Amino acid sequence: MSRIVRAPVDAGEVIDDSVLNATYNDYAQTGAIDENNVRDQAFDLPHLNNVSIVKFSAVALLGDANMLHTAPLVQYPSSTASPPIVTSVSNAAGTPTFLNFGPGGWPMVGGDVLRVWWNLGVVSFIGMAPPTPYLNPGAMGQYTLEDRAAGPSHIVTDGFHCWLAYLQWDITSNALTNWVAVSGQMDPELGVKGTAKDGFELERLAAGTVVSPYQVTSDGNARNGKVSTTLSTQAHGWYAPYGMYCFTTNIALTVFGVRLVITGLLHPFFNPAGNQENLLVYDYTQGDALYFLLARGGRMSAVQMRRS
Amino acid sequence: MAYSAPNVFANNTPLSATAVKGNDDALRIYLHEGVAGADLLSAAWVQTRHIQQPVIDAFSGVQHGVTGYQGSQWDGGALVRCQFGSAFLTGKRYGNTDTESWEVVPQTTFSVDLRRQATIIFHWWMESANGPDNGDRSLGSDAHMWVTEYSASSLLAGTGVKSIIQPYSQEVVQSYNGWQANNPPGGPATPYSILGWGNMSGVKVFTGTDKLAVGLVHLSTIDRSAIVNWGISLEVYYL
Repeated sequence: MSRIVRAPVDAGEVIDDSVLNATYNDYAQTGAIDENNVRDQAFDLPHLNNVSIVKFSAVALLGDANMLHTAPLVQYPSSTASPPIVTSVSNAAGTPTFLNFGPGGWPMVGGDVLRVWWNLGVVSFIGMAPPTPYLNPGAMGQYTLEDRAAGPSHIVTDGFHCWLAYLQWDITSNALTNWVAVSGQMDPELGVKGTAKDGFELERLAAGTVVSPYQVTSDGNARNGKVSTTLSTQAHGWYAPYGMYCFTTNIALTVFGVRLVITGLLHPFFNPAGNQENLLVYDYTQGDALYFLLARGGRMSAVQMRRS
Repeated sequence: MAYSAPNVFANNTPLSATAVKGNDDALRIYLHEGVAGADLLSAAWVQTRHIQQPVIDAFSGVQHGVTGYQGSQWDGGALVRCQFGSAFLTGKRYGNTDTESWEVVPQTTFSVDLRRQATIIFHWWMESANGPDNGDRSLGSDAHMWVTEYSASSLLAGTGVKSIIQPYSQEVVQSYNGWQANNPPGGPATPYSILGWGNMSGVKVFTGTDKLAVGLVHLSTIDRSAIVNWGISLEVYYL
């Protein structure tokens, strides 16, 4: 609080030397004038912090510069066995495409914020025959519908299989060879939470986006929970999943790069043991060399902002 | 140099108007031209609200303050502003890589008057119902609507050429699995599914130094897409 806050002399009060001198001496001090005493641009300007709240910004093209779903396209494989495959988003030549923050990286101090956004055009390609991976023995999410004409029952799926795209960063060096999941996100864990399955904890998917591969439809008239025709698998077609990530640091660190990785196929799983976690686990019965995620181009953007 | 009162008063001595006025005059001079850096509080005290009141454009919802702009628009509120995309606007029923074929999605543009170099972060999202459609296309059975951001570096007439980076665009697919050739929509027996529902979201980060417009454009091979929910937001920070 300013020191120069003396009350004015009111009528009837005695004016002696101490009042008068103190009034003027209020201004005879150094390091005391502040916004409560005087407003002047000449004082303001030296005190404006003229550093932008945005410390860094960057944009990178993901995949290939291809809008119309024609070649070159990039394939991201499904995992057929443990350990699962995690693939960096790249162009058709196999060169990873990611945000490279340069030789010095983006230094962050306590309170700084890293914000990342991405989008990518994808389609889930089921080249296997028949294109019904959910019928594979042991597939997760199966259930049965009766046929209306008293024919064979139909095995269908809950439709919860998914690809997962999530963010990794390198906070070790500008060699960009130490990619790990960003804070709040985990890389796949073998035997996750003590189960016999590989995968992720749902509460540690802060930078994850799931991509639904297909749906199962019936073109018949359902009646009393029974269907009249064989169900068909329908891919979702090309669409554009996206993700956003925000990280506030409480320690000093340097981020040298951020990349997007894709893995699959996964299915929700409830772990009845231990702390009864909700998990997203690999369903290796869905893995097939002809079952992959196909992608074109997209974008990844990032900014780093200071606290104040 | 700090202020120093030229006259010092003592008790039991006459108080002259000249002495008081002398101190006041010296103080006036000091405050107008005599304050030195060492007299100021060392800690920064100036806040942006001391310098300039924000200017709010009520129609566009954009606020211009000291450090930049902020604002948002959405489909609801006082107005119903559902939008659409259509191949009949973008010219061709098949893919086109000419950026001049893209058309603005109405009401999704912000105009900002930048005073210096700034970082612009433009956010958008939309939910659309696309098709059904079985029109003539050259790229197979699926039709799509692509959406991306555009920016124009100047608002002066005749100079606002849209800047579009097509590889950054996003797409939604038409509703096609309920379509039957020569026997269009079959009702409940051939239901449309969620395939025609598209949910998109994007962010464009770029820099600008002058007056500019930033908004959404689309290119479509679907005859009609109803954009039933949408929103755009703007963050601008001066560098």
